[in-house]
Amino acid sequence: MRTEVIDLARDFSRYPAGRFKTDGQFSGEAFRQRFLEPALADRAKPLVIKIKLDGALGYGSSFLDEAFAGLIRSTNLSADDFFKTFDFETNNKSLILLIEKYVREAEKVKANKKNDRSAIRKRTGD
Amino acid sequence: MIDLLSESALAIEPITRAFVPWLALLIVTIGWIVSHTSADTRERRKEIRAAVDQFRDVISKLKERSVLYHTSSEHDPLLAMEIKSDLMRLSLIRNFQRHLYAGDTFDHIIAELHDAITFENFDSADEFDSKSPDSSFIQKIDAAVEVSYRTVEQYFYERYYGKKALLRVKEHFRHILLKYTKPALQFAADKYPLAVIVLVFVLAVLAW
Repeated sequence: MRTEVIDLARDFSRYPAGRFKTDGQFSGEAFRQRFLEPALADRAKPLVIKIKLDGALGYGSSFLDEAFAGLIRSTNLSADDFFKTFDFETNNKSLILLIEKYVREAEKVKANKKNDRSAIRKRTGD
Repeated sequence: MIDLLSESALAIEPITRAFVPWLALLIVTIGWIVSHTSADTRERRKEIRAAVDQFRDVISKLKERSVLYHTSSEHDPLLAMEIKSDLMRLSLIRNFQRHLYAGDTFDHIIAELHDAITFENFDSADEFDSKSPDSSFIQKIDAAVEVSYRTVEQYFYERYYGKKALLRVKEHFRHILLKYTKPALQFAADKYPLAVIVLVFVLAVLAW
């Protein structure tokens, strides 16, 4: 099994901040697009991505949500696959709790949207 | 009758004399263990109280800063950075939770605070919206802070002063008694039954 290691503080920034690219160059969206989506693109081989979170000065929840839960919203990845693929390394357990929460919530929202769409299709007869 | 009693007292005298130095040593050792353990517990309690106070101080600063950040007229990146580093600091101090038998309760508390302060309206100059001090947004932060204060105090109280603390101490001693005393007595009774009978008798005489 392929394993990739991303040290967020070393490879991206010690000062990650913001949700979208418009908030700054070290936002959650920028991190997702630069590191996570390319790593997931080659799905032929099974992959484990280890992400080291220690070393950065701090994280806003908006960054964590957009970087990791954003992956659920922008790709077909399910929450279970997410937790199989990503392995977080940090001394701060609260960060992992937050990421888990946001990823689960993103999946719920996605599932609800799908249900809504199929209900509309049923009603309209498409 | 009196002669008989004095004769039997004389008969057991050498045995009691043999045991007295050992008994004294045993009492001294137990005394030392008890005083050492209680001094150790007292010191640890002081250290944990200091850590709890530090935890509370960081949370109170965090509350001040986050209210200031969210109620100010524009996004302040420096203040946002300070808030994030305060949240990181909390996770470094929270190591005392294992001494309070709190599991990962404080990790959940920090996560809740983190979420309340930085999930919305944070780290974004474009979408920053100044909140009023009595808005539900600020109230949510206030509630998370209150929960953290209450929880940390509750765990500290229960660990050192509450009923649970007494129950835990009782349970601890019962466990030690069952773990060591019973097998030791059984072993001694199997190997040296006479010695055990004599020891019990001597202790009874001394107690009398």
